[in-house]
Amino acid sequence: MRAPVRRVLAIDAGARNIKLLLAEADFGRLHILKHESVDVVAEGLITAEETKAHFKPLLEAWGSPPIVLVLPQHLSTSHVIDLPQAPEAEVEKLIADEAVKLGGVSESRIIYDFVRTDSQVSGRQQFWVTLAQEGDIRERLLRLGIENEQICDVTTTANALIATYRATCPLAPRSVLVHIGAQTTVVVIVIAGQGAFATSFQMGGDFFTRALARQLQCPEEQAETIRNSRNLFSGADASAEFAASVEGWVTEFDQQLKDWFKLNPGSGGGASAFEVVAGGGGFSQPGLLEFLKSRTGLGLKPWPSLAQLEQPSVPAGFEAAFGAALQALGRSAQPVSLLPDDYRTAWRKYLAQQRLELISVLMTFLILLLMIVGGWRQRSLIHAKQELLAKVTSGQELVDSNLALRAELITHYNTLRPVFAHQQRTVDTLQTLAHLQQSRSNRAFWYVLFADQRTYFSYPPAHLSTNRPPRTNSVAAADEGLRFNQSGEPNLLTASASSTNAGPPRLGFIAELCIPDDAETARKTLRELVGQLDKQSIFSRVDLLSDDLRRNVAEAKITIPDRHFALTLDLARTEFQQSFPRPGLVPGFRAPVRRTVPGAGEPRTRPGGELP
Amino acid sequence: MRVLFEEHRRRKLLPVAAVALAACFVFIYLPLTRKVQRLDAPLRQAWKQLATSLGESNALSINFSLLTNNLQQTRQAFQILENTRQEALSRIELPPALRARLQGVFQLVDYENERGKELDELAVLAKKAAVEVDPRVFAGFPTHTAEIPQPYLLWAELAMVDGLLKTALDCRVQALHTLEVQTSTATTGGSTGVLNEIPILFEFTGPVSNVVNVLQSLPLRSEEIRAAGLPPSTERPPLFIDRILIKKQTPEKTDEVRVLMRVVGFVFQE
Repeated sequence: MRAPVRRVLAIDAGARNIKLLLAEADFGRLHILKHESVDVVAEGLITAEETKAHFKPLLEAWGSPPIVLVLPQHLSTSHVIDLPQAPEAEVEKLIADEAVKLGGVSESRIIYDFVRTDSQVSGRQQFWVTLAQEGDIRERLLRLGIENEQICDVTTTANALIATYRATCPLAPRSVLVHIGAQTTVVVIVIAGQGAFATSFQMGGDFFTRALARQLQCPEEQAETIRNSRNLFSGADASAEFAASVEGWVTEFDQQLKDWFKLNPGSGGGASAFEVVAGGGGFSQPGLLEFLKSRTGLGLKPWPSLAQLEQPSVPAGFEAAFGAALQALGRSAQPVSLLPDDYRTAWRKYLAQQRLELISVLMTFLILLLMIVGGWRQRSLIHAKQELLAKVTSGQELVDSNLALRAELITHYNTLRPVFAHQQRTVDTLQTLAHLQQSRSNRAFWYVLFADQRTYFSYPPAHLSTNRPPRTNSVAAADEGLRFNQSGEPNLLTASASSTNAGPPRLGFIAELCIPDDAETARKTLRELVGQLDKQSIFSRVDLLSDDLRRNVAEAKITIPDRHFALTLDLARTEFQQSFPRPGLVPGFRAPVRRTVPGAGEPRTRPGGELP
Repeated sequence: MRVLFEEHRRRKLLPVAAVALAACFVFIYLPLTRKVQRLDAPLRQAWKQLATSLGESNALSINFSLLTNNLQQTRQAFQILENTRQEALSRIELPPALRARLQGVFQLVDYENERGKELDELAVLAKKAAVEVDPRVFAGFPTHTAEIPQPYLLWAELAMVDGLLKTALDCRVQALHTLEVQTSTATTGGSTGVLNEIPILFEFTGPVSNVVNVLQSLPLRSEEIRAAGLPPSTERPPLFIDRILIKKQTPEKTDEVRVLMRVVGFVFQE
């Protein structure tokens, strides 16, 4: 897991200058926030205390970022180690053994790191191993006074240069990186973006300055000024003696390359096939690059720009610092870290703490978000509940109003219902009489009796009479029987006591008639009469009255035995006959619907039933 | 956002943010939650009360638009009933002179005078129309007794009996057999008024066509009787048929029927 570092301070401490570069990775983009080169001599940073005193306010001003240190190349060794195929654990052991061998006899502990590189030999594997003495690293940290700061990484100049070059020219097949510092020249061979060789020799800018000072017999400071301001290789200021001094550097550089090519004959084409990139403060001398081009026969060229690769422009001389920052920010494909164990542990703790803080921040945001959402939801709930409560209260008021209005409506209706009922009954009586009168047209029969059903059925049944009349003929009722009591019922002494088969209470009429024709004609006439009356809308049912329901009301002297029939005419409109219950007394009260008249046979329903 | 990635500022910000969050939770979120919970009880109670009012105590949903529609329908029904009520009351409205008597103080002497006058008048009219009148008819005229709780209603009963008999005479029936005014019943409608129902039992004989004229004339007012072409009658309260029994009497007189009926008149008092 890569460190969640977003901002690092890379320190490349040279003999003459200490280069500081503050870089930041911001959502995939790399930014160089600040860079500064501190002149050690000019600032008087001789002792560790002086250096520490100088850096402390600077680090605080820059936000005390984690520090990545560039270890001078001469304090480290980088090699390609060729190993047979083996498991990872064994590889680590083999490399550790090899690192001890490479480190030689030392009282200090060797710190090493390695990365796998591409191998051209089948069955073998290669590793780019870098190692240094822990004592050198700690001494370096002490000298810079940053031993108590948060050190996130330590790498070497060579590895830092490789990282920078890989970011600059990711597709370059073979390159030689030459970095001339104040005292040391670092030479790195990069093949296909991977480190193949790294070395350094103690010749740098100060070597040229001292040579010029001896030649001009002037102080080194003056010689340094001249060297950096005049072209001593051509033109008016050309100095053959100085060029001869530089030849020494060229000889050493050639020797380093020859040694490597000798050991790696399969690298192909010799040094001329490599792209040579020149960097470091030493190349700031005018004419040096062109002179070295001509003397070495190599295509030396300065560091390419990073602008076209969407990388920040690296200030001249900060290539190593930039490479170290790339590695610390996780942008290096071959990171090599020589961080001592205690610093590594501290750094891991720091990272864990940082992750924890980051998680805390995220959790804080999450909780804040949840609280906002929850608060919004609670407010919505409050509004919804308040609205619903208002709605329910309003609904209750509507229901109460409706109930009160219904109660008043029903009271009004029930008060007037007897008027409606009697009006309806009167209309039904008159219409029925009219229909009966009309039914006699062109027919040879006569009605002998017409009565409402309640009156008719209040008489005793015909079969209870002692002198039972013929089946289709009634016994005449006595005149004395045709009286109503106070409740409107006929005042018959025998009626209530003897009517064990009294007819059902109905809303309708009974019409008795005599048909004097023969039996067949009488049946036909009766059928036609029932059919005609049944079509009238005021009746729900018209039929012959069952014999057991017949009453002896008609006068016997005007009836014809066996030709005396009784019809029942049930009314359709009956809604005024019963009062409504008050709505508060009956839950779910609804307006009444039309009721059918109870009686024999299937009742027929007719539309209607609205409140009057 | 950038400040969150700067370590020293982030370390200062985190505790402040935590305290702020806690404060928000305690002082904003929790009160909101409590308010939400406090609204539950009145809402549940109101819901239950409404559901119970609708006869659905366990209702999970209520159609609120139906409540408005129900009230609207009830209002419409009320309006329809009010119109019908006006029509019905105008039909049973008593003549002005009779209304004045009902509203005035009841004086038995006045009533007895009026009753005697109408009995005499009826006897004269019956004799003139050659209609046989059974003594039971005269005996059936409403009489004042001490038990009558609302003696002023006797004026209405007298007017209805008088109107009924005169209508029968006007329609030329053959005989008047019995007359009986039965106990009136009252329907109280609270603020709407009181409706008194006066039933009258009446038995008479006559030709079918004349009987039909009597029946048709009873519920009509004077102007309606004239418009219907029925025999003219004096102004009287309308009467409605409650019960009826019509039957032929003899084979010799096939057109003659005997009618026993119970008619009802109404007195409505605001």
